[in-house]
Amino acid sequence: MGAGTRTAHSPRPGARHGLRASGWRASPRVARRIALYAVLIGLSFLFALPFLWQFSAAFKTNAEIIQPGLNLIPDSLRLENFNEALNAVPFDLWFYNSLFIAVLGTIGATLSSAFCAYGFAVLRARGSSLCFGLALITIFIPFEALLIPEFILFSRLGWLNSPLPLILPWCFGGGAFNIFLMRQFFKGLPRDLVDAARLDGASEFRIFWQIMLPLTVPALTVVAVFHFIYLWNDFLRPLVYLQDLNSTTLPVGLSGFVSRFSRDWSTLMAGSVMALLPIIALFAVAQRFIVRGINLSGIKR
Amino acid sequence: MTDGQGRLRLLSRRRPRSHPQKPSGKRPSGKLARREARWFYLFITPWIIGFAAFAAWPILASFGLAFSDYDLSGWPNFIGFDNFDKMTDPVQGPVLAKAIRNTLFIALLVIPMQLVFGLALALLLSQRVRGMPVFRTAFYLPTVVSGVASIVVWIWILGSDGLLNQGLELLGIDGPVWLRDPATVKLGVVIVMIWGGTGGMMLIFLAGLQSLPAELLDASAVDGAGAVRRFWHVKLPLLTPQLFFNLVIGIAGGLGVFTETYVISTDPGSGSPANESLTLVMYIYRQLLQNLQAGYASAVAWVFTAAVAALTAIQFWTSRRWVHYEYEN
Repeated sequence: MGAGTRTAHSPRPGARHGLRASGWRASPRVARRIALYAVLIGLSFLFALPFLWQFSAAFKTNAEIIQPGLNLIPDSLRLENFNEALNAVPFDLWFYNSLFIAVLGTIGATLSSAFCAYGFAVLRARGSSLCFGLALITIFIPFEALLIPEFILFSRLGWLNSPLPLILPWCFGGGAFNIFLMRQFFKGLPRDLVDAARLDGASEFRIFWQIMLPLTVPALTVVAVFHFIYLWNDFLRPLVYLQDLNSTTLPVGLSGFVSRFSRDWSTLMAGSVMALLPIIALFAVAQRFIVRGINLSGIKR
Repeated sequence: MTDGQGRLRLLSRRRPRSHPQKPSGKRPSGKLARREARWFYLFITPWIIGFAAFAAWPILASFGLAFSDYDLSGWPNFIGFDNFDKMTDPVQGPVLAKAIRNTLFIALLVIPMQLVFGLALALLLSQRVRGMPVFRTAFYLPTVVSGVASIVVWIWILGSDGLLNQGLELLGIDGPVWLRDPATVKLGVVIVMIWGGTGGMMLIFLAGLQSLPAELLDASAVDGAGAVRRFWHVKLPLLTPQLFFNLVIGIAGGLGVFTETYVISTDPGSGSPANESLTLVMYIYRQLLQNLQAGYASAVAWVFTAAVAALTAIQFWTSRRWVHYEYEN
């Protein structure tokens, strides 16, 4: 609307006494702008729609849900849906398990990848490029290739249905991609810091912990946010390692919930919305870190 | 892997000829160097343990298992190539072939569409749009929440009276029960995966577009190149590193499709209806945990891994020809 009226006179207030012709020359450009926004608004609504619908359905009755039409605003806020979801299944246990695994797994992966990345980025030794090359190759090995032996290993150790198989592997290196990201960041820090600290007689461990690590907080945040989202959504691992209903995570629990409550949409929607809340809260807080992280990951180069 | 400033060259095949730290004379020698090397190996010890226990050993073990008969109790028995013969026998052959066909069908539709839509959305958003963060969030949020909790909604949306069919009805089309109809279940999965995967690719393309050198775009505009030519001859060549990255990630993700197909089945993991949603990873999962055929499952997993590895290697190999890193140098 604002853009439309502006075209009638001049594209910019300052250009009032400029060329008359700019008025009509600008209009196809403005029309393009309006079309661009129309397309963007339409598409973003389509992308957000499943999500908006899910939130509104979580507060509806089953009768209201199956009514035809979009009805994104529920008639009344039916909070019982959430109680029903909590009572129908061990939702609180799944939530707790998911949170426990995601938090500890994220801490383990973040610290351990930073620790190893410091070695790869700063310390020089024979064989370091070979080791780093091996680490890079593991980025491209699909997890499905490792699943079966790991499953056998963890079942022999008696770790099935415990959070160990989902946390412990992340504490050893934290995933090659995270090592790679952290190494990039360490390489960007001034090396003089390390040399000066060495002259002062600080041990390598102290240089890492007290001087370099605090400088990598932005990168640590990015790694932590992405890893938390990854662990929270992870499905195949908990499905295989945590088969007991009470020790499993939210995604696996919900997937069993789907077939059992295939007619009870309101309960299912309330349950799935509760499962999404932590990740949406994290996303809202960390969005700028995510965008920064994409730049940091350097794929742009 | 990195240039002098430590910038990323992960995706580039071209490496600096001489590593700045390599020349033999320049490396600190003697006691100091040995001390530094000791610290290096101390720092990467967690990675060495993790690599040995959770990458190297499993790969070798699964290779051994592929030639064994093992029901998860006792010890595996060596049986030669029997597991590989089983993949083509009259019992397992047709089911496995179907799983492979389904996986390829889904991947071949999903990957190009995620790439094209992701690039298109990034191009739209890169035009100095007001409220860009809001649009970006709307497109990217599905990627963040793309787990079971979101797939659940899609079961309703793709149902007989779900949102999609209500929309189609407005156009006068009588839609199927997408996920229960053997003819359409894979298309339903494709829709869910496009919704969930496009945003991530868009974000990477967008980062690339925003870091394009403005001089180059301005110069081509001054030279009279239209929007279409600027896209094909300036922007797209400069975006090939992002395209390559998204392609590698997309192929691994597309061929590994599991969560979506597992959750949408009436009986989770059954591949219903009529095995039309049975994918390769689901087939491996089923052989391992339902049939307790760890040896056979490993053989299939090895075939899967070899296929993904070969595709990745081919991409890295051909990337020399079509991925451009010139602008950086």
